[in-house]
Amino acid sequence: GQTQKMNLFQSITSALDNALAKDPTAVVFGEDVAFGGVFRCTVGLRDKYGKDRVFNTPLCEQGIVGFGIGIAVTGATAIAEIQFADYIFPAFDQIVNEAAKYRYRSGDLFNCGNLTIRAPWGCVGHGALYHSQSPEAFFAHCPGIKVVIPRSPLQAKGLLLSCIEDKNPCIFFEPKILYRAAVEQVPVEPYNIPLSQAEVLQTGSDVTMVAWGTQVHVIKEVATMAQEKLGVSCEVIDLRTILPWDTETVCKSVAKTGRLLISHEAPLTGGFASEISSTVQEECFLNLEAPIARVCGYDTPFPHIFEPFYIPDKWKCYDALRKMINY
Amino acid sequence: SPEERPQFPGASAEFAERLEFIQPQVLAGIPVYRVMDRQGQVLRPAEDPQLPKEQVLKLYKTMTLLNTMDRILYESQRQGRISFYMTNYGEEGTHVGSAAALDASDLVFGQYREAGEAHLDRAVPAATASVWGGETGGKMGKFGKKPGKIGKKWEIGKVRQNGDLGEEGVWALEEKPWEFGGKIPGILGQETSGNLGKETWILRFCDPKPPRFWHPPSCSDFGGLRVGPSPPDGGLRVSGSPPAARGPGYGLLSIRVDGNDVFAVYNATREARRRAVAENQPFLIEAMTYRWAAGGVSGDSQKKKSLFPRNSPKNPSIFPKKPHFSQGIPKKTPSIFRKISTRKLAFSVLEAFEQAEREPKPPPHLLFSDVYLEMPPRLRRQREELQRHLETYGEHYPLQQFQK
Repeated sequence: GQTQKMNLFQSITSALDNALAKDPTAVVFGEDVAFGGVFRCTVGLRDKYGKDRVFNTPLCEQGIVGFGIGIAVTGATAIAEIQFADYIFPAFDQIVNEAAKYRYRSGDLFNCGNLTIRAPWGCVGHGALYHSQSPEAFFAHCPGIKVVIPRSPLQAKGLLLSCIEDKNPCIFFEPKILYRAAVEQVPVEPYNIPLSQAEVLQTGSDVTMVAWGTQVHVIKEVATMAQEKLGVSCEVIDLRTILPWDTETVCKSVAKTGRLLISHEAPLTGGFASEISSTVQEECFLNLEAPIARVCGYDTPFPHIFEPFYIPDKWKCYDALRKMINY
Repeated sequence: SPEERPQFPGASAEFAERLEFIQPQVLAGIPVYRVMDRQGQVLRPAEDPQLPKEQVLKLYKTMTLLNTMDRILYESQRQGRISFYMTNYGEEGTHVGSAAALDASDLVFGQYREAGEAHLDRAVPAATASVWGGETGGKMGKFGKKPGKIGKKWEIGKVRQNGDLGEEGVWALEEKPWEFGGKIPGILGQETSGNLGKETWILRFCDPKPPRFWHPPSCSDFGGLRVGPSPPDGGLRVSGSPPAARGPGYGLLSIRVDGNDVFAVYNATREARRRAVAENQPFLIEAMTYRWAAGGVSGDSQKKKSLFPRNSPKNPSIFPKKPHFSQGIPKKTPSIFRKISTRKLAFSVLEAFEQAEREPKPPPHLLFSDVYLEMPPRLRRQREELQRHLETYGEHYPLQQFQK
């Protein structure tokens, strides 16, 4: 259908607009969303849909999520915003002990599947300790919720709409560095991109590279570098959904290439790359030509001035790939 | 003059030129609304809810049943026959009185101690359901929506046991009643929620003042305040700080009621519900009770020093108050109450309990269901793994207690 040039935050607004239009029970709430949001994701929505459907909450993440769970339990569609993923931790108990377990503990008598939590995620150049985090690994360990991370405006709108419509509580992390930077032609009408399906962006035969969110663009660039400098053919996969994740696509790829590199900004130890690595070595042990490489943030809090040294940039990824090829 | 008043946004106060701290006790003396005296006499006829005799009997019967069930199930827990049980001693009037004032379609977010909040004639006492849920691996719903394990007499109704301290109830607040078919959720709180700081934000979400907070929600919050033995001095002390005193701080209409007085709780809940719907604003009800039960499952509450020995005639709460009728019925204990035989109730509980114990538990594969609406492939594989494991090692598992 008709498309429009949108950046990431505009594609989010478009998705929310579609959701609010289609679903009369949908409400959008969080800190500062009424005026349009600190990243402009909710601009215009309150004017269009009214103050009863787009509203601010007190500064209280635990409350935002708890409240959202309650709305969802009644059958309405709750779209909660946590202003930065770094602030999601006060809501951790609500997410893990309430939202994730609602259906299970009641034997499906009740559920909060209509809940979606959105939060800006990932490094942004100057975010430092509390405006740069990628906490997906904490939630990957929690059965009962879904965790989704888009790499672009086009992906974001489709994935967010799928999260909103999905009948399980979902967390949707939005790479904040891409809010303005990423621009694409995005359909104006609603559309869905399936959850729990990884996407192969580029096929290749020598190495599989897996990432999500911003880091997908880094490994895409590394794939090009590898081809040009080393003559190495890379298969690039955007995982898209962290939980439940698409093991089949990744394992099928590694069975073919024999080498795997996973990269994320979050710290190495306990990061989601460990889960992928562990699964792949179980499923593809005999196919592996080299140890699985993880190129991640260091085991430190996300630094302030040292950010350029901390992040798993293309040089680190390239170097790891080179070592894998030469193993 | 106006220029001399503070200009801080939201402040409507005067300046003060003397350094003086506000005493914390300034609001401690909030009066406790009651309908009956300690003997169960209605004090002011105008406050009598004039409930039909059958309903009063039912209220009382439920309270007594709850009390009876508590004794049996508490012992069962101590004997290791069930894993968790929270008694409701001292809070029967609060649960039953508030439940009676709600509609069957109202959504209630209970915690782990609102067993009596079950709608009177049909819901499984929620806390008990969760106990039994625990015994069935949390799968009470998987009895094909049959009555919960506690017995065939009761069905699972709209009561929601969430095991946490009331956060989800806050939603209430948001949705207009007409959008959800008149659902007025009641948040059932306990004072411990104040201790965890959660109450603070629950109340903040109820704050109707613009511009920081949004349009006022509708809610009723029932707080059971623990008044009890507080070491080391063993004296009577209101633990934590009373919710009713905090309500006004957040702009909430608040009331404190005698939680042992089923009519008082009923009246307050009914009126709060009516006004919450009509005025679309939240209400805070603090139901004061004497909770004899333990705060948690560890430890033995019997060991705590008690201000009022359990059997002391001074103890205001050893039995739920038997309400007296205002019209034309002798003021002594009406014979109508003698129809409620505690022995018979105990028998019915035991019977249900034993039957539930005999029934096989749901099949083990249900361990894997309802994590999500649909079962992810990985979980399906894990289910198959367990299946295969049991085929070889099944003798080491208590399979005989479970359905196939």
